[in-house]
Amino acid sequence: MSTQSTAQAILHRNHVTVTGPEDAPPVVLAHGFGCDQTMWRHVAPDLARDHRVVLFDYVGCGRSDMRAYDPARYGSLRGYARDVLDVVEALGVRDARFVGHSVSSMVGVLAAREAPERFASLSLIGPSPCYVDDPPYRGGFSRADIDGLLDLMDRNFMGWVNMLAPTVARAADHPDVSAELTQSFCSTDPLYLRRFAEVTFLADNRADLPRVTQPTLVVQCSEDAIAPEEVGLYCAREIPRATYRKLRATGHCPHMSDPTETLAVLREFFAADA
Amino acid sequence: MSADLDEAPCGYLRFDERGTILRCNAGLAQLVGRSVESLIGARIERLFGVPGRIFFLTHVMPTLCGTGETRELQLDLRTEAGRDVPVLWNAVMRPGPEPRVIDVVVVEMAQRAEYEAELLRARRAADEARRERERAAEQIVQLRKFESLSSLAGGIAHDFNNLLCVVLGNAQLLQDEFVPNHPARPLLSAVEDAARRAAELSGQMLAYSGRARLVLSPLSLDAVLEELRPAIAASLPGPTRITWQLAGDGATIDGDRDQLRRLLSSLLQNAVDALTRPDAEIVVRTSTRTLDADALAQCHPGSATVPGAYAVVEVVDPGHGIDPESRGRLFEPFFSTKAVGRGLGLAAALGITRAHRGAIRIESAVGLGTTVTVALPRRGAPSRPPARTAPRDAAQANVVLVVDDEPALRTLLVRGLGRMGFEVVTADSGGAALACFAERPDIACAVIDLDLPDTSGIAVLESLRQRRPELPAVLMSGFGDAALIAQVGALHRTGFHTKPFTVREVGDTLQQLLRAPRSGI
Repeated sequence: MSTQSTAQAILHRNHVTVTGPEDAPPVVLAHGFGCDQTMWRHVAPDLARDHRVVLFDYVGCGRSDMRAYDPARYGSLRGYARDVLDVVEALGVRDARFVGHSVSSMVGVLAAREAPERFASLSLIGPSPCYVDDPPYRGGFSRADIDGLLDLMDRNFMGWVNMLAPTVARAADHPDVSAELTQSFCSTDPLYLRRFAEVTFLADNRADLPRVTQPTLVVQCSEDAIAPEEVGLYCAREIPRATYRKLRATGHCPHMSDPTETLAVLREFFAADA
Repeated sequence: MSADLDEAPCGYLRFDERGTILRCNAGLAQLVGRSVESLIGARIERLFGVPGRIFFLTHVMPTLCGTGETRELQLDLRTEAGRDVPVLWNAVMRPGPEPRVIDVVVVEMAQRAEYEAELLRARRAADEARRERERAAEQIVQLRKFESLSSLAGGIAHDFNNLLCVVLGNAQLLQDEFVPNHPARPLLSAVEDAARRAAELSGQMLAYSGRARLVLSPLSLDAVLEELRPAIAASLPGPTRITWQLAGDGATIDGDRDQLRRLLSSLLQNAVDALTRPDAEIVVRTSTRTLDADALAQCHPGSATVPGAYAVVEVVDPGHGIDPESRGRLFEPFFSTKAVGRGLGLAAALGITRAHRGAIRIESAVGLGTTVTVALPRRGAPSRPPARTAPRDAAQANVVLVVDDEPALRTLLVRGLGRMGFEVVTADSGGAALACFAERPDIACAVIDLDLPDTSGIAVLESLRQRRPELPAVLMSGFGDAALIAQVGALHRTGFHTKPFTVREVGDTLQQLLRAPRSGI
């Protein structure tokens, strides 16, 4: 296969979409666990005014090519980091501003270590290098908590109840949500998602933080039950060139619940970085 | 909140997309054992235990924001007393100005949850059974692959050994044709060295095939490791240390000393090669363990499956570890992750372990290191000191019958044994050997290839010994067939050489046999 057709195959595999001026600085937005690129819909259009915005779905998520799912590759976060690298290589992107939400924070850390020339900076929203407590480190969860989560996922995904069933028929009730969006949003394959949960919540990437060489923004939400403030501060302490920003926005998805504030801290960081 | 909604047989609540509870009915407050007033203004996550909270934040909220609703989700509400109440959860996001609001209805489903949990357990059991079948199928594929590759490797090694025997022997004979400082000697010496290295490779291939000659004797793994210690210590780079934790319990196995040395050397060399820090420490540990079927099932396919007492050696290195993709191929011949290496070390280790009816297992984590465990079936009897060989003596004029179908080998033995003072008569088949033996009553000993075109070497020897029971003989083979080796081991006044050998080695064995008392060596 030629280089060009390989690149095309990757762009198709990861359902890559690119918006914004061709000559603008590139921004790669990497979605978190359990969702897909549509979670960036409140911030991507604004960024695309003056950035080349790259959106993609990890294999196994959203509208990616499910046939490309390889359990061995996606058995660790390195496989997901490989997806990021494949995408930026296929697009020929260098010096990208990487923005990763939740688990994608550590995926970005791994990808940036692998190919530092591809990434100018990292913005990590709600990062956690290790979710499970390992005294004196406190990740916020016990192993039993994570097992409980996996059990909950099994109960919802392995039975006849499927939260992710497309709800096209109801789209008419929600004029702000297009049918296409409804179809694609979080249409992640339940079994792949279940494996992704194990990979995400049992990963330990603490040793990778001190090796980050890029300027890095750590974005911490208020009252984030997934990535507590203590963990955000830990990341900011361990990453050599880190800037720490705590948002007023609550929860774990500020780019969805408070896109305005999220955009403001990202743009402030990009400006300082530039 | 209307009185009707308060009394409805379900829980109702409304929260905004930032997670603040705006209203709820008495039914919901009752479900979680709290008052309506205490819930208003609280955060929605407080309704869940930790697992439910993660699920809510990573799945429920994003789905609500994305699609506007979540239907028929199973969630557990956490009561004030810390008990989980399973509920069916339906939620819809109301369009409007931000922050948008979400209306939720929950219905308790304790009995149905239990029923579904039963189904889930059955589903998990079925999945586990399927995985078990897949593992078994994969093991069969691996075993077939191993059988096929080992057959190929054994066959190639056999033919190579025949050829190497001719190369090595003639190179040695040719060297004797030249005076000590003749310029041809270093060239022939280089040929000999290359042939010996090729013989070493051939030996590893034979070991992998499981058809290598095994000379079993009672020995302890501790003793074999102690023998290897000086050479290993000398080869360690700089400050690298090996901690020897030997059991010292005298546990013995039935093992081939040379093959076990090859196996353990290979494991130790791999451990040294895997190190990423110069001051790293390798641990070598021996123990005696009772391994059950489950423990053995964790080992590489083809390993022993019989539960019982095993002598175990573990080599632990804190090196770079092995990635999962490579881990599946480690035992394949000619697969190597090293820049330098032929990829036969672990393949041979597997063959040797299997030939000893043992088990081998590799556990590894990238960046953390690797542990290789080899378990060999333990024997009860204590170790015996190795038999001493008789001192070498001068050649005596004896007539030796050489039986081999390979002309180049016959020629080599005629030349080489002739130089050692033997008179050599040859035969190219079993039938020719018997005829020759009948004609030459002065034949004092015989050298017989095990694999003859018309019969086996063992059968020829038995026929010769029907006429002369004490006839000394050396049997030779391109590979050691386990059944044949066992027969040879039971024969008295009989030596054995695996090709490639040097003619001098064969001649020495013949001389020892000729001088040994008739009870054999």
